[in-house]
Amino acid sequence: MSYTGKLLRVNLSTGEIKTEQLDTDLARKFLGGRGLASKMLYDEIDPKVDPLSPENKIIFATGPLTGTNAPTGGRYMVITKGPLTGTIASSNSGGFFGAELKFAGYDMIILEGKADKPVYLSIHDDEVQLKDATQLWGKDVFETTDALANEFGDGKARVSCIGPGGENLVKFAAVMNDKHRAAGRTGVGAVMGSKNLKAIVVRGSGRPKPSSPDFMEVVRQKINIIKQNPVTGEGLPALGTKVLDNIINQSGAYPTRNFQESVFERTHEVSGEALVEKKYLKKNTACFACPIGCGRVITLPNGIDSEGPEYEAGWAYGADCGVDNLIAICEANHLCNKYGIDPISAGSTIACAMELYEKGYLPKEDLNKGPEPIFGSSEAIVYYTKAIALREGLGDKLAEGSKRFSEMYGHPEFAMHVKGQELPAYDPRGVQGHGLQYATSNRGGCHVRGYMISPEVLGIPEKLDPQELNGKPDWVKTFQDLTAVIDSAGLCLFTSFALTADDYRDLVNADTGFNYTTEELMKVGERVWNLERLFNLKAGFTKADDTLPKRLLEQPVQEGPNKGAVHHLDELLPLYYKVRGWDENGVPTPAKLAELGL
Amino acid sequence: MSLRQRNWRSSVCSGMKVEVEFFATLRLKLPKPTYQLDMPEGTTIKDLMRELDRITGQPVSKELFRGDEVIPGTVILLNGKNILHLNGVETPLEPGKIAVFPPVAGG
Repeated sequence: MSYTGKLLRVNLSTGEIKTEQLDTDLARKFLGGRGLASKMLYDEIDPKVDPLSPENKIIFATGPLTGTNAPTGGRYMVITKGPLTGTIASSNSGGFFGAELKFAGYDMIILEGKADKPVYLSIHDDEVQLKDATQLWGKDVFETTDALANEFGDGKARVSCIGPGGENLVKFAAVMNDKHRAAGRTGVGAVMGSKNLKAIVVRGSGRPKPSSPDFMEVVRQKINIIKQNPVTGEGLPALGTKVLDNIINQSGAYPTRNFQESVFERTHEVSGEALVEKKYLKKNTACFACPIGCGRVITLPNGIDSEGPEYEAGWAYGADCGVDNLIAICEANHLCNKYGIDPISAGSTIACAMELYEKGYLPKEDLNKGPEPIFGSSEAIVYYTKAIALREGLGDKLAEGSKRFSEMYGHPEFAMHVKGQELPAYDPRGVQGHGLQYATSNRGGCHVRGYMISPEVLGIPEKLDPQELNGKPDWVKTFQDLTAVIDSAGLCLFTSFALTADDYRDLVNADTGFNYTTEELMKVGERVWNLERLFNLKAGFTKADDTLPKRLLEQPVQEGPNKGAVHHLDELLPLYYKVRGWDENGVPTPAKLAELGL
Repeated sequence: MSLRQRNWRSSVCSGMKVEVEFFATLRLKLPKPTYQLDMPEGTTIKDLMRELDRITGQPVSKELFRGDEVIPGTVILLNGKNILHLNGVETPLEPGKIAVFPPVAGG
């Protein structure tokens, strides 16, 4: 099987580094990646711990398929208690770092404590050392990556690091690897910063060994399905995720000017198609073992070479801030990569500031000579992105995220968040199932815990009416559980536009030899979901936190195809709890926990 | 067909004015992204796409339909409403905008 069987445990306070055996019974129950690391975090820390204290731990975890030839088998996850939300936080990234960690012989790294000065972790197969990072502290993601890539002399080391955003404990700082790939959400980069851990650099010479001799045949079959599928075989490679701008806008679910509107009149200027038509797009790029290649490589007229923006980042700085200048949007996204912060939360927090400013609740003197944060200001999105990462001027307050920022100014109703994390690029009033998924996501406002846009807008695997409520809780549960499987296996969620649960079962079985039935594999996903829920309940979250911003529950959409719509969470949530086997307060029942072996 | 012929055709039909806009990969393949047409009453989405096959000289409908079924992932919005929630390929046109997306996804 493709587990290495070894975990690396690093105590940053004492400098102790040791290896431990993987518990294969536990791996069978939680698979790996998000699932297995969440179980370990749950067992090892008090869920009430301060996320930025030495008592929190941060885990870098591969899945069994990470580092194999399985399509998109390059993913890894960063699991910790998140500073933005206070929930369990797990953030997924692609690139090449995860596969290299597997090649070096480790299924995961558990980092504990806090170093007394900046350090980085250097891993070259069995040689593992903590090294001084004083000279790297303050350097951005690109500089840090370049400085460490030659750690072992061949320029092939892979680097996962934080930029100034993580060092400055920006609540939504990202962990960045291979320069432009991000474990982007929930502020996992701030946890790294709080531990004085600047980077992990890894080089490995091993290769995973799947258990079945038929593994490569199964892989070939699944790659073929992905290649033949028009979405993963043509749409995503050609236009990336930003192909969604127009479709979500035309569907009337494209949040505009901090969710005050749901249609952005200038979408044609900032869409994925515009990125091609304006000739900023140079080519697409792919992560390890990825047959899709959704990444964007761009050159802007101002000379900046970069990657992205993805759909979410482009939306956050575009429609959500009312900005129609694609160069500024790309530049703001570039700064997020450079400084290591999450563009969804950054853009959305700036949008919140724009609304507060325009309504007179954010006084001009607080801008500290920065540009006026008004909707449409391309100057503001670029300026405040840098200010956030460096915690300069108003940026210091914005770095706390929209929930805390709006509370500082006495108007929490202008923060578009769930459990403290900013909502992504779909207006729940236009997609009822997706709104339920936002409200119940275990890491706060998030679209990649159960991507209901797929059935509700795109018609994959079948088309559901986005305004229909019937059946949506079941769909949300299925999507959430399947996503937990994909995240735990070490694959990219985008495979799910083409692959089914049976396909994942085939890949996982050929790799691990666990011989799951599809039902058993989905049960793994359900177990992971319930475990995360238990963590959050112990951290103090309640049913009251499973909600959406008031604006989306009470204020009808003003214009567009969803005119008049609000989100019907009050009807959906009790049904969801029931489908989940939870009581009326959203607590898993003893029977459900027994069924899942928790 | 030249632009002049197209205009002639539009001017002799008396019916509904529709604007069809293509997105994603189809937008990049077709001669232009937007087509203004004047179609007879009773025209369906399927008829419209066949007409666009002819006008553009590209197999537009093949990219969207398999027989009488919309290919999964394809989105055709008639004034913001997905035709799958109307009458599929047989949905009769109404004046306004038609947005056409070949199979796409993202996130």
